[in-house]
Amino acid sequence: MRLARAVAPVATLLVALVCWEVAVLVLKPPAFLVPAPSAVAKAAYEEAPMLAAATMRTALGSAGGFMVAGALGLVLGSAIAAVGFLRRGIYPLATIFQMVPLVAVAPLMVIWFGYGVKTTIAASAVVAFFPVLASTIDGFASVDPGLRELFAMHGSRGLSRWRKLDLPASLPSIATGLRIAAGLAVIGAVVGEFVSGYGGRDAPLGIVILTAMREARTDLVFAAVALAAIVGFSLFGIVNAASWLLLRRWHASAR
Amino acid sequence: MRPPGPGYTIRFSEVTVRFGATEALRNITAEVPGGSFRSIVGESGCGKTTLLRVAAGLQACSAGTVTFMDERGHPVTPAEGEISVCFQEPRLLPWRSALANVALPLELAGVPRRERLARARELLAVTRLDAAERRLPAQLSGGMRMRVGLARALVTRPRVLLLDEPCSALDDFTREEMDDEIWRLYQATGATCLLVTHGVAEAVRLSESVIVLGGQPGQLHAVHPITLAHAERGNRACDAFADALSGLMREIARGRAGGAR
Amino acid sequence: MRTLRSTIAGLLALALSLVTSACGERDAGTAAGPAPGGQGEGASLQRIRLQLNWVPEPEFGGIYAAIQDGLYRDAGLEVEVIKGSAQVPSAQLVAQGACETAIVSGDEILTLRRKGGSLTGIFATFQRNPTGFLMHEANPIRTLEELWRSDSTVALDPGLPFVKILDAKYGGDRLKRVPATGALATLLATPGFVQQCFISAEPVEVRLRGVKARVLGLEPVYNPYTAVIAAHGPWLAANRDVATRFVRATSEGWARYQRDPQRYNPGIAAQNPAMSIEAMNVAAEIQRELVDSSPIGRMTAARWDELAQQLHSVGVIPDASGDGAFEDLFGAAPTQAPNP
Repeated sequence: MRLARAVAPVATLLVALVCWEVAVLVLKPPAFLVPAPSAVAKAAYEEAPMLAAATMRTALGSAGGFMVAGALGLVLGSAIAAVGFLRRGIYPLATIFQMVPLVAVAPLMVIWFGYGVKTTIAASAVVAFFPVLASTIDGFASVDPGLRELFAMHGSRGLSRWRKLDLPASLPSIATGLRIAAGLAVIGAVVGEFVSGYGGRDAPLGIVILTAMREARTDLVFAAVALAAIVGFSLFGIVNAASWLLLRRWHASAR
Repeated sequence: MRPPGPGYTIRFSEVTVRFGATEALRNITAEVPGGSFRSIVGESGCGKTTLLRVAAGLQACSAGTVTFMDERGHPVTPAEGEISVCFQEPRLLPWRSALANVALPLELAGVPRRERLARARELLAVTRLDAAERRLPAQLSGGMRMRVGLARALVTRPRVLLLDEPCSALDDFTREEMDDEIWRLYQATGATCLLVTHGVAEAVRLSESVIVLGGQPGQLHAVHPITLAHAERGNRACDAFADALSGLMREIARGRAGGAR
Repeated sequence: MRTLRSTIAGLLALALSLVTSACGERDAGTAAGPAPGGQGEGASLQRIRLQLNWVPEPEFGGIYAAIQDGLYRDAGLEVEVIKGSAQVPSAQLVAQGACETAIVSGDEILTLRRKGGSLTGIFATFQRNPTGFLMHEANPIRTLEELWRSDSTVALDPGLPFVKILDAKYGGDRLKRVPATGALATLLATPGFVQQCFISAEPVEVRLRGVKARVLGLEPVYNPYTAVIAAHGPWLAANRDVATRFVRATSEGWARYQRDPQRYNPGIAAQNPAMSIEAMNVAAEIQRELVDSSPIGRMTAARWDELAQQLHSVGVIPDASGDGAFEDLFGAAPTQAPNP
């Protein structure tokens, strides 16, 4: 059963790739427009060491941004949910993060954080932050008031209640936010790399994409984009696995 | 298992509760003697649960007071854990095992882990849940969940146990079992028990006397004694039980009719 | 003071262009039958889209001069200039036929043609490479080799072929390469920072901000035609006559621009408020000698072969042939050379 569930998307992907390959064979678009999947695979194979190193760098930046966004979203979300003043004052402002045109502010971030992974992490965190924040606040707002009362009766408040009640009760909601953040973190990281990534042998995927684009090596662009997507999937998978481990015994979303 | 001393007496003096412009309770004066079992009955919306929440400290009085007194009649301020509430829904943490749920009040009070787990196990044994200690609430039946809630309420060795319709969500058979359980625990602990219930038979089964509320806002209609021997309480089919039941029902009906006075 | 003067110059130029365009209309109105090299008012103008690879700046000065003076219209053309940016892949667009013509760089023609793109150079704005490295005056680096052997931080557009050429020559192992964003803030704030530049753009901005800076030109190492107008292959094959008129009008536009850029810059500045007329006037003077040729825009096969060989030597293209990269539409009798 579980195997069957894994087979369906893989089979769909394979069929799509075959259709794509056939379409390229028949329609023969110029290589700089649309490469065949086989050409993408060949480019990936030929550039494997460079792509592997680039993927690791992008994974590092994405994971860093994801963790910063996760930590900030969780802490600020908890504070905002707990304090009415903050909820009214900061939450509306925090929604601005959702509207930030990252491409426009990324060059500024280079000035603030310098070149390299710090800006990548910052750009990644900026886009991944809001879903975590929003889901944390939503999660805290929907904690069973009965349980709140129970804790109040036993004089539990502050950090102890946060750890024993609010956080675990909000986990299903937070996990949803983190899942969304995982994909966004990679997008943010790649955009950050566009403006801050080191070139040459230290290139992350964002720079590989720009370079290959300029060199009209569209097959390599596709390979790098696919790898960025795989980084996103991996982050998503890690979040999924973690939330499954934490929630599988008590929450319907994990069954 | 037993509290450090006998149950406190609960005294409501001219308790009035208002929610904004709406009055929920008006001028209730009643006493629950230390170590006794009382029920509160009355039609829906007459403020039964509000009165219980006043005793629990979860609801402030708009006027009047609620006082606790020790066996010598001295007013006392109950320490944390000396008053326990068993809610209508068991209010368990779904991510915690039965054992960890029962131990929660002790954990929040800062009792060391080994000690609190030992006491939680003791309570699980008393409520006959020892085989289920590792199970999560979702893996327990409704009755078992309720017993976990009871065990948790008792784990702090309370002198006052407040029960807010704990059996209303259970089927009839389970409810009778639970009533037996509550009676047994009451006997074992010696705590003062105050039970809010819709079930008139349950009130007859468990209480030594019944506070009958009526009207809107809720007012004290009567304190109706139940004079049944121990054996008669356990047998709902006997005539004495039926007489006590109809006596209480008549009292409630009178309260309803006179609610407008 | 300078602002005031440039404003006056702008107003004058605006008035002038109004007068000339009015004249142009009158000419077209009175001419009986098709004018030489042009068409009567009854015939519709031939539309050509020209995709820029950057925002309107003096590097496109001749095109704007041709528009302002009505040269295209006189040639029976309606040239629609589409602004570009760093994100607009102008070479890819013309290679697939999304527009008839586009500004591209020489190497893009060679690489894209080998990837199935159909584009041919028809006009080269810069005979000499206007790309260089911008650095603070106090920077001790004096040559490209010194730069490439240093551990400087250099902002580069990723994927430009000159990087591979410099790597092949000098290694560049210690160099810290970062993406060029076109922003100057980092350079202004960081003394040792080096930034790839277009000689008529960033250096002018830096100078106007009062920072002493210096440009190290790439020309000695890498000298492709730059700001080349490329035409989509099938379109060019079917419209050689149109393309010829376009190229000649553009060349004449450039000749006029070179003579008096200040006359045309206000019109360009109106399209690009981010760059001042003042900066455009300075830029025009800086680029003048890189554009000058006779006629302006003409290319030679030898130069294309040289570029192809250079790109081939560093593995950017699989063969060393410049064949078909350009087409000379100036004909045996070149249009009149610009007056000295």
